[in-house]
Amino acid sequence: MTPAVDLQSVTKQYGGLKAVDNLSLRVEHGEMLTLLGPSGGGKTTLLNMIAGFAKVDSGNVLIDNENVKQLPPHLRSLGVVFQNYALFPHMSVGGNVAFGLKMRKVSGAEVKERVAVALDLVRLGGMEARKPSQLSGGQRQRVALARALVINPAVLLLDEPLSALDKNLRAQMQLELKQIQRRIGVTTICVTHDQGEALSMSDRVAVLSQGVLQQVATPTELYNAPATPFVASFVGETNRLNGTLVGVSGEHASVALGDGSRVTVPSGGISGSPANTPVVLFIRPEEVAIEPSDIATGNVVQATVFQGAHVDVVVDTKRFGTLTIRSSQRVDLGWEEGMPVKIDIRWDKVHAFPA
Amino acid sequence: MATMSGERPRFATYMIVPAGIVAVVIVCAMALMLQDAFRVHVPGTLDVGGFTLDNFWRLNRPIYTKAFLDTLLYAALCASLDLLLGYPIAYVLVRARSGWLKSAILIITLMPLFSGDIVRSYGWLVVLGKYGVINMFATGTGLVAEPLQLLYTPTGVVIALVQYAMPVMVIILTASISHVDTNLERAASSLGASPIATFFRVTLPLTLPGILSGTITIFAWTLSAFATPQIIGGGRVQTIATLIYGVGFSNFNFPLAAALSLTALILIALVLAVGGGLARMVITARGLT
Amino acid sequence: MNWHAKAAIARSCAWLFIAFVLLYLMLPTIIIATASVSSQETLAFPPAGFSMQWYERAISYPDFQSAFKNSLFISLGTSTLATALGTAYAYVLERHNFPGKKLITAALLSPLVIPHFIIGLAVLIFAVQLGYVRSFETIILVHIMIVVPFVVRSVLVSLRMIDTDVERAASSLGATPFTVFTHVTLPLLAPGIFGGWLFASILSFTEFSGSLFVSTQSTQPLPVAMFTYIRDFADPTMAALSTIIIGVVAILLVIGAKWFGLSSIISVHDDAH
Repeated sequence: MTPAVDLQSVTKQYGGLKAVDNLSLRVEHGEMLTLLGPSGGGKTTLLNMIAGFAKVDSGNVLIDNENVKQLPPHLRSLGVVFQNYALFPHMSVGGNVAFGLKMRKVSGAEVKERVAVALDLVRLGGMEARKPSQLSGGQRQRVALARALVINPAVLLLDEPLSALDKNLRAQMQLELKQIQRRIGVTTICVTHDQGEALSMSDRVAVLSQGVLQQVATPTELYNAPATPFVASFVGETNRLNGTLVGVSGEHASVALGDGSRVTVPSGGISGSPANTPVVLFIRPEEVAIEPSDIATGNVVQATVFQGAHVDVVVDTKRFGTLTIRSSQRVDLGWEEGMPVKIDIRWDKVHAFPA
Repeated sequence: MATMSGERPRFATYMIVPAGIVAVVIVCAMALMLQDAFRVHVPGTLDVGGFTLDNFWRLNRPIYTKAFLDTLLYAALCASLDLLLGYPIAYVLVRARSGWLKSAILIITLMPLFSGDIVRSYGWLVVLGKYGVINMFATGTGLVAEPLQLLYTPTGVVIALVQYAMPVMVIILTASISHVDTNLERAASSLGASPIATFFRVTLPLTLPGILSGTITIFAWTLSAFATPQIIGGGRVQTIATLIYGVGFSNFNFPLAAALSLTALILIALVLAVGGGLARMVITARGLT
Repeated sequence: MNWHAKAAIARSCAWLFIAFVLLYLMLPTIIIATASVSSQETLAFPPAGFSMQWYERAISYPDFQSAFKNSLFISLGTSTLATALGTAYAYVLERHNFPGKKLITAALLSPLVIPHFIIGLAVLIFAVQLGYVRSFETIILVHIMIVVPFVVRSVLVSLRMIDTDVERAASSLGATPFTVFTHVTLPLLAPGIFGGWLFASILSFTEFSGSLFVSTQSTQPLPVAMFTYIRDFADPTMAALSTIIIGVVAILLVIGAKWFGLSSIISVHDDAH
């Protein structure tokens, strides 16, 4: 099945710096794929290349199997929602939404109807006469969305769509966006640095760092089976332990920790490595069990960070350095600084990689 | 951040005084001149006689009315031509990526402004003359049989005036264009607008305030031009400015010169008020800030 | 691609148009620069031979020499006085209220919209009424009136860029308002003040219309001397002098561009770049 968007070995350089480095990615019809990564990681550049705002230095960009590399933005059939919405201040809401249709020479009556439908879709029905300056941030964002959707684009591009909204609105919009996308079924590529957003909204997530594609997978896979150290540390919270590989046998590997003790972890990312390779082990805060202890254990609570539904306990451990451990608030165990605790790492949940 | 809360410190009060004095002198000098407009001219002296409205009746004479109308015409021509020629320059100045191109255009555009009226007008004197570059080119290539008479004609004056006012128009337009968010142009592009459509539907409308401001400013600015019409016009092209100079300096008829000045000032004030009002109406009607 | 071809043609046309406009803007400068090195006396174009005689004459002509000295004196006096009182006023204007603020400001800024020759005429009448001889003071007065609005504007821009928290910090550490002004505000304003001073000097040096009415044979600044010369003579001496002036101005502009970023003077910044 031909993908909706096919990026083939795409590269973009600025001077000596590669903003996007030999990246290949396929986006399937109807899916919502998010480009996730830190600022400067290349995701916005990639979006700009798909939209046609940035030239592709090498490689190809195919939309619906057509190579659009040489095509200027106004000839690509895309809908773009900009980070600051970019609504035309000198046009009304209706004028904004109708703009793309006017460019496509759609007749007056049809324009009116389609604009009304689009505004209804984003729950702004009847607001055609308002001006952008009279709208709230959330409303402007919806107008921008309606404007991009009304032209039935082949692909919808969203550039940090929720970053300008405050937290509560953001959660609500995440749901709405997802619903709208599902309903219409338009292929959507979203760019964000907020991994919570990426994980909650997307069918698949592509993680980028320094222009290189780290992993493309469903949110669950990304979280539970990160493919690179970057993904392991960027997506979700994690603790990091250093060790040396002793040996691999099948699904398991034996790793020697700093204090000489050995642990058995899933071989995953180090299955092909020779013995004595330095390795890094990632373990998530919620995969470490923690209990108060009556006797000194060598593990001492350094600080606690109240997060609402849970508490993150920072523990100075004897064997593993400083760990952040998640403790559910269901049982208020009264964590205090200086308190001795017992910890138990679920070694079968560790993600190991060559260091 | 503007006004401070709390008392105005003593030193601040003292600091207003020098400028305040200048302001007072401006007002006094202008008032003195303007009241001269209502006085009788005593030929051969710099004194003035009693109250009279004579000077204003004299303004009804053809030479004066013609000069006023001509000046308005030249101002209108300059404003429109400067807009037409200046907008592309301003646009390139804002949107060009090459730093040296920007600097080059900037210096070329601003230099007329800083080299002074005389140097500028003199340059055109040479260019427009019978043996000037334009005629050399025209007769040399056989475009015209006889040298064009551009010097001492309204055409020549307008050609020179347009260049005179261009820097100001470009400055005003660049400020306006630079405030157009390029994301808006990208949005239009992504919605299917060709670069030309984007320009006419998004960029141009959004720079309307600048366009109006520039046009009105140039119009008023041209009304005040003196050196250029004086030198290029050579006495044969009369504008309000050259008229005042002739009346005031050749005849030392200060009252008449003052009357002309008063009328000129009223004209300029009208232009600025009406133009400004119209501009404000248009801008709020279209919701551009 | 068809679109690319069309776009290329359109783009070439646009660049051609711009080149034409730039040529038009530069025409007088190019012409008088070339004419200034002509060996012949008539202002013909193209010039006949090559000679620097007109430059020699321009520099040695007594009227120009004295007029040049006059201009230096006048512009120095104007710019320094205008900068001082303009800066002082701008500060109080921006930061405090005082009775008559609107009126005084309007009067001070009015020369922006009043034709310079009218200002000259008014000051002439004013001076005559007071029995004052047309002297350097009168010329400097006219120039100050014309130039102050620009100084005020330049200083205001700089003033608004200052982080007032810095002044408040000084205050909280015990500085009196006057000390804050002299030790914090003024140093931070230095670029704006200097820019205003430079601008004022150039404006005053090249001011013609305003000077014409109030100058005499002995006090005439360079532009007025040039005006008289143009009326009487038609040789390339003026071309040489003009070229010199243009050259100096161009150099000053380039220096200004390097130092202050000329772009900031006319806000040629580009959003979202």
